[in-house]
Amino acid sequence: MFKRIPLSYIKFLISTLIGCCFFYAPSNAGAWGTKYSFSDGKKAETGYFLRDYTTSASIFEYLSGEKDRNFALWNNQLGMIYLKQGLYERSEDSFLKAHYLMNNIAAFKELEKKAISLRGSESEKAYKGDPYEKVFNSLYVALLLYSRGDLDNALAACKTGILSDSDVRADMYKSDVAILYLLASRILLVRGNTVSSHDYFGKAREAYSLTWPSNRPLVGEEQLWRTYLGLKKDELKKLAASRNSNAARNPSLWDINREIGYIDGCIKRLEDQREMNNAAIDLAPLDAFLDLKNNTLFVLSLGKGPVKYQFGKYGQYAAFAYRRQRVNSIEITVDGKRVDTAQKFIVTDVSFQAVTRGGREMDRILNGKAEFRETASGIAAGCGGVSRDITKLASSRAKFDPGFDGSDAYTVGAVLDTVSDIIGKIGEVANPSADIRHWSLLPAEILILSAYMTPGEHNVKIDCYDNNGLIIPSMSSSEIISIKNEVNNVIFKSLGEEITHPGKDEDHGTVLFSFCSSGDVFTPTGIIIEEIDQYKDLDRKPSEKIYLSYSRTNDGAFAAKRAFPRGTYRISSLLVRTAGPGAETLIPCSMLLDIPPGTVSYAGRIMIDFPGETPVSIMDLRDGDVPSFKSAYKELNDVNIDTNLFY
Amino acid sequence: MKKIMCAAIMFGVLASGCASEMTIPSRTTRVMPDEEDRLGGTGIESTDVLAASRKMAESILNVPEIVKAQGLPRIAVLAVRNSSRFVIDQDIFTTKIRAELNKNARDKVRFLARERIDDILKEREAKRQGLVTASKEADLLGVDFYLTGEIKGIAKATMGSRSDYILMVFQLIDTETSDIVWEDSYEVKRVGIAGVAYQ
Repeated sequence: MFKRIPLSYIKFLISTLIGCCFFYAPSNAGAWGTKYSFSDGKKAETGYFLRDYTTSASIFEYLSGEKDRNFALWNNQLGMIYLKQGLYERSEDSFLKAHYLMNNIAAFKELEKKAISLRGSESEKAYKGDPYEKVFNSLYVALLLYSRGDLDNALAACKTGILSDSDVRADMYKSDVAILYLLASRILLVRGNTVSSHDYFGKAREAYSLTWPSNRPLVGEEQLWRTYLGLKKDELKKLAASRNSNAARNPSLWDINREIGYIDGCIKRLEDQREMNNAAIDLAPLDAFLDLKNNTLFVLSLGKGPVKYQFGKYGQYAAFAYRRQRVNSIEITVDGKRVDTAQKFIVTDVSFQAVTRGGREMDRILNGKAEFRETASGIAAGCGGVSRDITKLASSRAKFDPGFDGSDAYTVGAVLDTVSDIIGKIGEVANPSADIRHWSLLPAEILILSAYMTPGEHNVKIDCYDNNGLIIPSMSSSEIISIKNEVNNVIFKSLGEEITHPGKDEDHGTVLFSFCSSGDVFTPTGIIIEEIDQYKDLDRKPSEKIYLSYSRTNDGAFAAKRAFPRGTYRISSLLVRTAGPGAETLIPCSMLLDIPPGTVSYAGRIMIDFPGETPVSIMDLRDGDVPSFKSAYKELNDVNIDTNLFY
Repeated sequence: MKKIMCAAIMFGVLASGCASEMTIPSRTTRVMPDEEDRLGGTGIESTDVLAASRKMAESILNVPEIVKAQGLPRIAVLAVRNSSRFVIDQDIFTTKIRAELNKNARDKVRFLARERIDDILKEREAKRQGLVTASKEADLLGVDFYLTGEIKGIAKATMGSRSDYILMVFQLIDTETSDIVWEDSYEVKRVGIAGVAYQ
């Protein structure tokens, strides 16, 4: 019976069955055949950056009306658009809708199983945001409620935001958003609860100091040591619980204790350094924020926020890339009179909050899926190889031995081939891709300043200056603002997120990348550029991945040129050839490019940042440094390549 | 031919197999407000509003100052203070307590609509000026007791999971003496464990 059915039929039947069992259909069916699909989210996002708020809002309103698993995401995006339009009631409503869902741990529970299943994608789960997104949703809710005098609920939102921030894995980064504590402290002071206000103010000071720029690297290092310390202590506990707990007889116990002592010393050193830094931090902005005579909060949102992207062979990791901020100082003038802003802004770095979220339980699941896929692919390749060998051997023998009956060998070969296909297909159904949905309309930084404004209309002028003290025209504004109340006024203003090259959607941007490396040490040979589009990912559409090779220009620099559709891209790898016999090396990096229509030139130099050491520019490296760079690069997986580009 | 038949069968299986993937079930179910819904969460639920309000309404009717009052004691509602971490309509409790008492004990207590005082004063003024008709003239009544309260909470979080203890305290305050003539509380604690996808 078996012999009469051709093996190719059996193979076809089994493969189709397997394919059928694991067939995956995108679950955004709600958007199929309807007005907008998830991919249109990109159009809405671009619309926002192009100041076409009507189009942008109408798309997100439509998507929000679908009440799908991305409901909170669409509402967060909508909240930002309404805020920009000055529609505060609508903005509050949208942010609140997202707030309730993001903070309900039980909502959309049924989608969770799908997300962690082998074939399900993480983005199948409901979007509830990372801790940093919950924090900023709570902040906007709190500020909007505060502005209309609902102090109780504004305080409640602050408390929820603080709680959300404690979800991050890394202890040092828990509850480190000073502005939430400050706002809570101010509200409690208004309510006459000075004791609690004082408590919150103390925590605000702590959070403010921890996130102060000079403390950030120290906190990062301390966090690493603390994580390591935790691991060592666990190891010690296990050893101590074992039979050979006598230190004299167990050298491992002694070694671990010695390591713990060393780690403690490192932590102490970092704590002391932080203490020294703290003494130099000016806490005057915090005091000014709490001064109840200041009846108005200026909330300035600067630039475009962090962008989440996938990386890894199967896209199983999610990471953030962010843009450099160009603003060095800000000047506010009210009715021609300069407001004293020097050192008075409370700065909240959205990008910093995003990248310090720490690991997640889901990362382990995605890694497991990726490993499964890798293993299945390996086994499939192995079976395929054995099948080919058997068939080849049988064919060779048949050539020289006319009496040889190779049918059994062919059957085994074909069966193995089928098994290889099946395992390969099973492996392919594993979906390890990380969820990259994120609140992309968030700014890079939120600056809050408290000041006194008399009720009435005022001409408010805001000017942003760069590091050279030059005014940035695209980040400056002047408008008439109406102050309605004696207390609790909030002025929202966002600057620097707009695209300054409108163009049309179909227009391409021609980008010229040039690197000034002399080529003596490293010769740039190419770059790999990947498109970042969370909406495409939701629609299961592949993003663009482009290899671009460098060539030497007349002036001796290396340059690459190409036209791109408008969008956000990331230089994911640099390919360089080292001097001497060195082969081409692929250096992973992450640099964001916002490509508008028109011609844009990017030029700059590449910085390599080894953990714990001062960043070095590869152009400054001498020949002798190359081997150490190469060996260090091989040993350390977490070498950061920071590209210092000038646009 | 066989291949085509196989493919047709497979297509059928495939189509039916992925049908369940195509849509997220979306339906609305009506449930009683005093029933736990299946959405869960660790916040204040309608069950808490009903249970707390009914408990308070019953409790108020046993207060000696209300039971033995000369004439109908007049009560006005003051905003409930929300000191919990939940953004809620904090007046929902006092509104429900008022509705319960107005429904079941109108002969024992009477509520004054102080939150509408501006509209009331405007209408009275119009009547006094003869702009609108008036069937009677009466004095505005003073408040004997204020009904108010506070919602407090203790929250804990770890890796996406939440624990919330919520305490709701309600009081009747004598507006002449500032005595708290009655106080009662309702408390609830909820713990929600986040699934691994959200940790």
